[in-house]
Amino acid sequence: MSHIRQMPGDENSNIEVSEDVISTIASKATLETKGVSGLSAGIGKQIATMLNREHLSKGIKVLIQGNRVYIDVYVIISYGFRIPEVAWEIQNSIKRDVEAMTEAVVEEVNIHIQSINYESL
Amino acid sequence: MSLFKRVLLVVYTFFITIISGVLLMIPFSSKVLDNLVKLLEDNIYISFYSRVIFFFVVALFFAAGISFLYSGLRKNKQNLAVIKATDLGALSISLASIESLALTSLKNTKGIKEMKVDSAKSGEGVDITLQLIVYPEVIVTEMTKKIQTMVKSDVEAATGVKVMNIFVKIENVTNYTMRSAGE
Repeated sequence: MSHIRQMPGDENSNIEVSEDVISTIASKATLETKGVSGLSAGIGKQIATMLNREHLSKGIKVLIQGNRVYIDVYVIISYGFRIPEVAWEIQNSIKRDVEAMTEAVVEEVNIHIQSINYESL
Repeated sequence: MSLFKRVLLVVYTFFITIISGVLLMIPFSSKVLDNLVKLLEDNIYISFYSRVIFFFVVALFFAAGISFLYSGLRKNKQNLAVIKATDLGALSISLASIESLALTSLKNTKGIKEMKVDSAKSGEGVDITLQLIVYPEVIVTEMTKKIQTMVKSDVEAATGVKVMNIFVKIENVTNYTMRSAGE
């Protein structure tokens, strides 16, 4: 599993931020966005995760390269919301929260709309 | 994928790897094949129960193989998507989502008894095909224009994806009237 190393001023100590931490922050930011019904991981992605050992937890895939982070989010949208607007909100929230809490640089937040939830109808 | 299917996939892959590893040695020595046949004969034909167990184990592997083959060949619309670039990454919207929005758009349209929606990527946008079974009172040309406009407008508003073409196929006209069906 990849980590981001942070140096909090003291040269003898460092903090490691794992993919799990970033995944949790991204998941929370996504679920708090208006118009998001839930997170989803497709069957194909789950098989890919098993084979590639990529991190994919409850619809969030995180890739760390050095200090840069690439995030894929698999979302179920509530009916009645404009998808591009919700996606933009998710991207901004994730970038803001991850960068504020970990000091990592979020390079990409890719949003995958998997399905629509019609419970609000 | 369910936990059961995951475990099944791991067990299946493990045994297929072992079996193919043994089979790989056959071209190098005929003894491998002889020993393999002897091993099977010694263990399968010793009793009725051993034959039954062997049959069910192999049948389980056969069923698992068919199941994985079906999963692999089945068109998974969640993985097919229209992709748009944004400043912070990409936005991909599955064709399944676009189809369900088109279906919802048609839901309250009078005159339609049954409907199916299919979609495909088309350049920067998407083509939508509507297959309909309609009531006999319906004036098809009028209804077609109306639903094309409605579906295009609803899908584009919700997704931001350009609907390039909407093909309407009237598959059949039902024998029931709208009144008898309670429409």
